[in-house]
Amino acid sequence: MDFTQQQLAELVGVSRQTINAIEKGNYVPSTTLSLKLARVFSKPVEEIFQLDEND
Amino acid sequence: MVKNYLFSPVFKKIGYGILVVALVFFVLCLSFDQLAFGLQYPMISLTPPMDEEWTIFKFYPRLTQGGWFEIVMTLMCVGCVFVAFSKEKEEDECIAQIRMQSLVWALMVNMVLVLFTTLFIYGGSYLTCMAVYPFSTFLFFIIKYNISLYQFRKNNEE
Repeated sequence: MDFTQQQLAELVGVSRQTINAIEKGNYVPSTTLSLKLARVFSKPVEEIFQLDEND
Repeated sequence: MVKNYLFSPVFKKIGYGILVVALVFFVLCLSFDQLAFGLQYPMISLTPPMDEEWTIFKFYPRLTQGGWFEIVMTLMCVGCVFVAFSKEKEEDECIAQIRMQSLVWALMVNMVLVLFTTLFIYGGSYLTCMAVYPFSTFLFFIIKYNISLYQFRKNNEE
């Protein structure tokens, strides 16, 4: 599935900058937002987000 | 959905308007003798006159005179709350986090100032400082929040 950041942002109800910040790893989304993103991509949350070494 | 206590975005502009009016009144009060305006109106005071002893657990309701000070303080309170606690047009959880972090920062900075004032400032100046601190908290918060928000938007623009 190809989305622009703007399209994805509108689908999950956040600003485009927030999507950008998540992609860059500057912001860790809430459970609600993670689940919404997973629903858009039709994938389990774990496939999109993983714990990193410092978590 | 998590509940928040924020006002709609339009209140931010209203808040800035109120603060400008408060500032004008404040400068006028400083520039001229308050009495020259002749503004006095009845208010209810819960404390006794200055020369009587007062314990915090007793109330002595009596009539007193209000003036410009009460008006300026009321406007400042309402204006600060509207400016600080209005939603952004594009409100989301990331902005909520920036707001919360800025508020923590502002409270900490202000408390350091309160501590400094308590240890090193005495007499009337101490009371003056204490009257300013509720508003300096808001000032620190509004500045920090807007800088953080600007940086967040700029860093995630591309």
